[in-house]
Amino acid sequence: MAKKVVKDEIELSKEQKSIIATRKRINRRELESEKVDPFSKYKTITYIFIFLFTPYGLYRIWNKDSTFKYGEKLVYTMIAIIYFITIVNAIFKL
Amino acid sequence: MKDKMMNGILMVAEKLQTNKYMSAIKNAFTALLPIIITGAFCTLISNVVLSTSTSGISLAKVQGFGWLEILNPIFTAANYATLNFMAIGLVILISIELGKHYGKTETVLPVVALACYIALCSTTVSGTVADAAGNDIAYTVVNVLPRNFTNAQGLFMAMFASIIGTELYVKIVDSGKLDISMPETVPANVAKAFNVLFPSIATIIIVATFGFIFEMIFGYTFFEAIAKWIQAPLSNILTGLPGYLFLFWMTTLLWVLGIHGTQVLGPVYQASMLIALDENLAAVTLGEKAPNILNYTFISMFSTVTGAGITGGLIISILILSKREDYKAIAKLSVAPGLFNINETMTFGLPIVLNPVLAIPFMISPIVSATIGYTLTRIGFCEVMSYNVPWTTPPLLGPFLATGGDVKASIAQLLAILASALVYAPFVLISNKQAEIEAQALQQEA
Repeated sequence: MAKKVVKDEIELSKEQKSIIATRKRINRRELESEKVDPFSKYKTITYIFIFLFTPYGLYRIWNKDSTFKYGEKLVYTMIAIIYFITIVNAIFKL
Repeated sequence: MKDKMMNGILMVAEKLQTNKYMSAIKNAFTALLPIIITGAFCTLISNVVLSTSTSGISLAKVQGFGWLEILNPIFTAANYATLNFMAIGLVILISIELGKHYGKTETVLPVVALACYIALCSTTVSGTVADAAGNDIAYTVVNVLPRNFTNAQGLFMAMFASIIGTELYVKIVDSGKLDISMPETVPANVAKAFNVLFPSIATIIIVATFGFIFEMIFGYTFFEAIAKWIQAPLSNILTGLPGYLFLFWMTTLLWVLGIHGTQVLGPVYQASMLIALDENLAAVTLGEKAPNILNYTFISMFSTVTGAGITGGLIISILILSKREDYKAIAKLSVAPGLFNINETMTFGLPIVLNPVLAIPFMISPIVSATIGYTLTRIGFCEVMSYNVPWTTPPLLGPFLATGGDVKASIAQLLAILASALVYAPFVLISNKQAEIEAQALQQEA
């Protein structure tokens, strides 16, 4: 009959418990509302449209189903407008 | 003693990660990442595919492909809109992130932060231009925002101005001293707009006054002071080999303790390294030699190629030398993600985290790799990396693109990966021995 091996339980020291707790806190998953995910499918497609067809890109940034946070909306709107003005300037050599 | 040290390091890492300013800067840079990558991609396409005037390789220089230059304005415009306005984006994003920390979500907050930033910028550009006879004529252009305030060069000032503006605004609002009480008949949104009116005015005027007094006393602007006293020393430390190696050794140390080291320390080095890369690109565009060997792209090409700790070298060592079936299985699984510089399967699967045998080469390999890359670049074997290439670009292709088409840069990276395989080799043999001893011990117990 096989012998059952009973391992002795090891008591963790105060430092070891602190290490485990600190690591858990540092690596904790951020709340969905706090998490900044710049490469979601919706956002990646929007970035492409900002440069391919800027008005639709702007629509995707600001529509009610948009996943962009407020700060991202401001920054990408600024980028879209500057790009549009620059490309029109370059094409028509204004 | 070892546990005490580990606990101490983790406490510092936690303090860094939970610090409100570091957290705001980190989240802001994360949100800016698509802009940085788009700008980098457009610069690459513009110079390596569409340009007929670049000194490096370009598809448009090949006979029959000259027509590609017609498409250049699209990518130049995209590059301009992204990389040249990074600092503005950073001001807005940091103010919003920091405001969230204080529970302030007013839409006026980023506008106030941006106004504070522009209040500290010089809006006059002076210089000289040669006329037809070769005489220098001085010129002054007023009411413009020079590019060095809005591109990577302005990142440090953007961080300071945004943080100072946001903190000031929050303190003034929280003090309640400038609140305007409106009658109840006034609509809520109008009352809210008036409530933030005086704090906004006060914040912008205080920051503008500070900038004015600073220049009166010291004789140079706040931007110049930050560039001279903070940006330059930090850049000198990080773009010098010892400081760079120490910083990336710290990131691997944090990885070994089970924490995403590059994320925790990212806010410390990102701005400086982006500025260094921006300087390289500016120099290369003018046909000059790129000044900074150590820069943002160098990190992904030599310090984190195949993943933190250069685990591509470990995969090679395991597949050749390891007798452990568990190691071989994980190494085979890690090849595909490793080609895109993702290595979580190795760090948490082997594991390397908290593994004293593999932790040592994990911390040494990036030092060896970066030193090889730096030395080969310094002696002129390969070009300096000047183009921003996404960190997920496969090995060997990345350096080729980052140097504008220098094959020797890919060879340098290959040598660095092979060197890291040699670093890991003895420790893989030790782990073989360890497995044998454990197997013998189990046999004896049975």
